[in-house]
Amino acid sequence: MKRTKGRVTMLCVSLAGVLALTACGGQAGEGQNSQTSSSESAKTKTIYIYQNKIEIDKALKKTAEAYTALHPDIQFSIESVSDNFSTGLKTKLASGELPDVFTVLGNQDLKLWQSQLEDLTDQPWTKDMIPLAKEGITGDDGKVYGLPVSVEGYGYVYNKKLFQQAGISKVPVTLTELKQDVESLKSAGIQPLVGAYMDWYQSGNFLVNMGIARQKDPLAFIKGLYDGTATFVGNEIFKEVADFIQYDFANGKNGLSTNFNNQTTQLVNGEIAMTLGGNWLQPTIDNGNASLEAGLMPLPVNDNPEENDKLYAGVSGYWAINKDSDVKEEVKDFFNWLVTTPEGQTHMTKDMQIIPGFSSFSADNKAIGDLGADLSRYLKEGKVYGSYNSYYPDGVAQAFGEAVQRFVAGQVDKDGFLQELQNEWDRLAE
Amino acid sequence: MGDKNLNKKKKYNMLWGNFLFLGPSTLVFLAVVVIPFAISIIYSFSNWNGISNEIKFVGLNNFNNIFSGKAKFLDAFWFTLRITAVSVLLINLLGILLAVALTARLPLRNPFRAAFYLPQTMGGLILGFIWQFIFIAGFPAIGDKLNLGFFSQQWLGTEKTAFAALVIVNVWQNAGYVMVIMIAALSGISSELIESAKVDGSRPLNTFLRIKLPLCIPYITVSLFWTISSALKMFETNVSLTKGGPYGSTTSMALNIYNDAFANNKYGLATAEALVFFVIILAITSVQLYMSKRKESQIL
Repeated sequence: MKRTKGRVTMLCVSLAGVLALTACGGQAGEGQNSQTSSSESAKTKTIYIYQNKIEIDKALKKTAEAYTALHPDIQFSIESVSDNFSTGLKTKLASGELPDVFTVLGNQDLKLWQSQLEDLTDQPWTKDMIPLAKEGITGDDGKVYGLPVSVEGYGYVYNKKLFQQAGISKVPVTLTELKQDVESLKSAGIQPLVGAYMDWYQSGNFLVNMGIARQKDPLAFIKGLYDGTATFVGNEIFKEVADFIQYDFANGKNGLSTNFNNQTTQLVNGEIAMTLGGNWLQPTIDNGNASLEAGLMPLPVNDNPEENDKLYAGVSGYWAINKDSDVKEEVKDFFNWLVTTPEGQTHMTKDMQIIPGFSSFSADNKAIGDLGADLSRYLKEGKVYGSYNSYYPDGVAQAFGEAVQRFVAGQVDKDGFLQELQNEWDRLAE
Repeated sequence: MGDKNLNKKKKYNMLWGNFLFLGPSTLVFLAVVVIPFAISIIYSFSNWNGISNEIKFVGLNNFNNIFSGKAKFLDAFWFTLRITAVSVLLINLLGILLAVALTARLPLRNPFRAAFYLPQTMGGLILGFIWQFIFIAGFPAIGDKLNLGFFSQQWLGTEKTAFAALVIVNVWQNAGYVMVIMIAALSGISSELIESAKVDGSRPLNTFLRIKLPLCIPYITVSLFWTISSALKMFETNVSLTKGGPYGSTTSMALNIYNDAFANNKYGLATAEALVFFVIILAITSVQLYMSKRKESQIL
């Protein structure tokens, strides 16, 4: 009898233990519930935004505050992450905390996330999206899934004062002119170029994109790569781009041990005349050395001025809505306010300093700075190539970047480099 | 007969006791280790991308890709083996040397011990970034000032020097830990033994090699085990110092798995690689433990 009693006590204790464990689990859940219920009782709703443009974080928070002032029942929680953005997003998905709004890069990334996204085709602003912005976020089903955040473009960022010092009066638009300018910079004792070849990011995304964007029909070329009817190997345009990459590397300094920070520091300190970059560098320049006069110029790969007097541009990301979000209608209202009312538009162009992907309003030339103004001018004149990274199979940009590194390090020759691009594409596309 | 019965009941009671004390932790262990492990085995036979709701099973395809060299895992494996061999050797040698030096009666012995152990207390990610700065900006600055070509080369820009850079950081980070273990080992040896060796005319080097080192064997086993398994699992230093570059030549197994899972969105392949990774580490460390235990029982 006594023994039975002991056994019962033990059972009770172990049950209590289990209960304590489950209670812990329950508490976490309750905590969340109470949060939502308390916010419901006060009739406020919180929109959770997770986005990858760290440079607009402050401005976006300011915009959100302005919106909350107009709509006191809407609160925002904004998280901006640039490195490992997509890893973070996947982790959030896995833990069942997918944000209400998050950045989707378009095309391949859209395919990846499409099953989680709200269809936004019926929103009033979709008709105002510029074609460049619209094609990236339209699914195979013809529906639009996101709001383009900003148009970004790249070329060489150049230092106007150093150009003057070397006696260069106008930016080069052909390869021969570029080579002459590099020589005059050198003879003036100025380091002409520097490339951040240590990171795969710029080579894999920007340099290889040149070859794809310059094809007659880039989308057909990409489709051909997927179904095996097109190839990098022996492609004349890619050969020219490969020569250009080699030239850029050879006239740079310590490319393979220069990373993005290093490159930016040299640019901002006025130590180099040109480097690969885009209008996103403007805030860094403004903060680091406001007296630096910079401009954006083309990356000429041959001697045809019409083909070369162009920049490369694309939409850097889209804000998409989680289709299971409780506040998706509120987010739609917020998006509407942001891109269709003058107040919202001002926040986008003046505070976030972006070039909008809409035809209904345009960038603020003062806010976007010299680099943005140059890009904006090229965009208006229609002198831009597209940016096709978001069409690649996942992981290809990194593999391309590593192929470029191997090429400039002299591990493979030009043909080997193109073969490698092809191999990496085939490996990751399947 | 009665006695036997009593024994049985005692055993039965013990079972309840075991359940009471081990139950909760077993549950937790099941939930966070065993079940995820089982699930990952299932994923390793699929082509899941980590997000979509559709999962297609592809049989042994992922393992095929791994062992045929198509998935770059073998390259990463070869690199990891090389860097493990070099850094384990150097970490243990340096750790033992430091321990010997710092058990001698030196002035400022304790500050030195602390200084050598300090890197161990910093996170690998931060170390990587600091050293990246040193290799990119610090070394060339020294090289330019002193006109030493050795310093001004592109440390992270070529395959060999990037490998060396990783070894340097690894050794610098981990030698202190081995040093602490070995200091404990050396100061645990009874002074009578050493004295009698001295009386018998043994020279210091001889005493060290023939008496001290053999007595430290159990500690060396631990150090070896720890350095080997941590070198095989190298990740943070790798990701922050070289990011696998130049051209992917310094990609460790763990970084390769991370890339496949999160950059290439090949979750199925990555879990398959993780399984292979697990088996490799298990095999290598078991062999090492078996061999050092055998050595221990031979000597002690």
